[in-house]
Amino acid sequence: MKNKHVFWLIGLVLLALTLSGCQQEKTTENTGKTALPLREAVEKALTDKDGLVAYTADDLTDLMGILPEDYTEALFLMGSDSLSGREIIAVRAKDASSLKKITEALNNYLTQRKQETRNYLPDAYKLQTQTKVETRNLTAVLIVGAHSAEETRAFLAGE
Amino acid sequence: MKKLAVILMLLVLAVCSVFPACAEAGTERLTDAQLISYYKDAVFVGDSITAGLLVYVREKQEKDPHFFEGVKFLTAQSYLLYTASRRNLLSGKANLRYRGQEMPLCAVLKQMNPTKALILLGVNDYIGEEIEKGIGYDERILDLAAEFCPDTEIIFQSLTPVTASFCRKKDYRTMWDRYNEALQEMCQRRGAGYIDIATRLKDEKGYLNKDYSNDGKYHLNDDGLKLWIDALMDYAQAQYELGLWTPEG
Repeated sequence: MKNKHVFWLIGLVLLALTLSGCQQEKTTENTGKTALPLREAVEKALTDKDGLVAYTADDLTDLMGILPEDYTEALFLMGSDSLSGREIIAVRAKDASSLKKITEALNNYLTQRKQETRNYLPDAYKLQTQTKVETRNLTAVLIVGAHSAEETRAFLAGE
Repeated sequence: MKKLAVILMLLVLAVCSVFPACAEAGTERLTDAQLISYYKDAVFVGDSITAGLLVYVREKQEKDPHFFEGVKFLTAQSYLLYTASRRNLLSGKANLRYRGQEMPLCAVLKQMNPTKALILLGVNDYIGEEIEKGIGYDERILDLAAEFCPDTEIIFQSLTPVTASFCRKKDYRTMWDRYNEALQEMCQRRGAGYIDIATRLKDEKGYLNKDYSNDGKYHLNDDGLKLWIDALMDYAQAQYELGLWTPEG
């Protein structure tokens, strides 16, 4: 009788462990989140990561109006030569409605940046006109640089 | 032992009587952290030159989060002094952005209500060629600040100098120097602050030392930006020595 109880107990524990494992897998799949922290994921995708300086969450709010309550993670990198036009903004939104707000803010920001550089920094303006805000799942990204298209593709593939 | 203590005390008193400055408060050099605290809750307003300072500050903050902590920046590439002096938004021109919205300077300052606004503008206006007009714009900024953010102290910063190569076709050096002199005079007359960042960036001929430029014109590299920071520190020290400000704590 005792042996029977132990057998059932082991069986229940194994079942519970299997179910929790499946649940974990399903959660990851549903949210589409990668295991990589945002900065690591972005840097992995960049072909040119030299001379990038991290701006703050306050900068993201002040410049673009993107609020911390709308994202789980955000990254704002600026080229150390601020005249080059190089910049990367990646944001993991909390939900679909936040993603919409963030995408709109990034599009406005890009439009304003082009206005600043149009008659002033032709090289930066060219890079800005060749890129656009892209999204995948709950992530929005704006990459300005000579290899923006491939960097954007590589980054979003992991999101 | 007692004799030794008395001798030491007498020695200290003698030194202080020979160098009275030692005994006075407000003349010792404050620490960098204390000097930086002068700019707490301040905002730097400018164009691409100030955008360079923003990048420099953020880069330093990656190693030392307290470096100019809490200081804000309002910059736009090609931003004009003229635009900053307007009450309303100018469409088709580079404007400042705050919380994602384009706004005139006076409206942003009203919303932010900073302790100080440090302004460096005029390069994109080529304001050295129209000094009188430029000073008029500066005065209008003061008028709007008095109306929109009366508690904010306005401090103008001199234009950065220009390199010799940038002056091949036109003598911008003399023009910009004259503008800086007029700006300083106006600041004294109107009771606004003025920080001379230009002098320490110049070479022996009065041009921007090319070792401090990253574009061969008037933008600054890290060495030049470091001198700008030094000028800010010295200004804070001067305010302390004049008894106009005391660091907290």
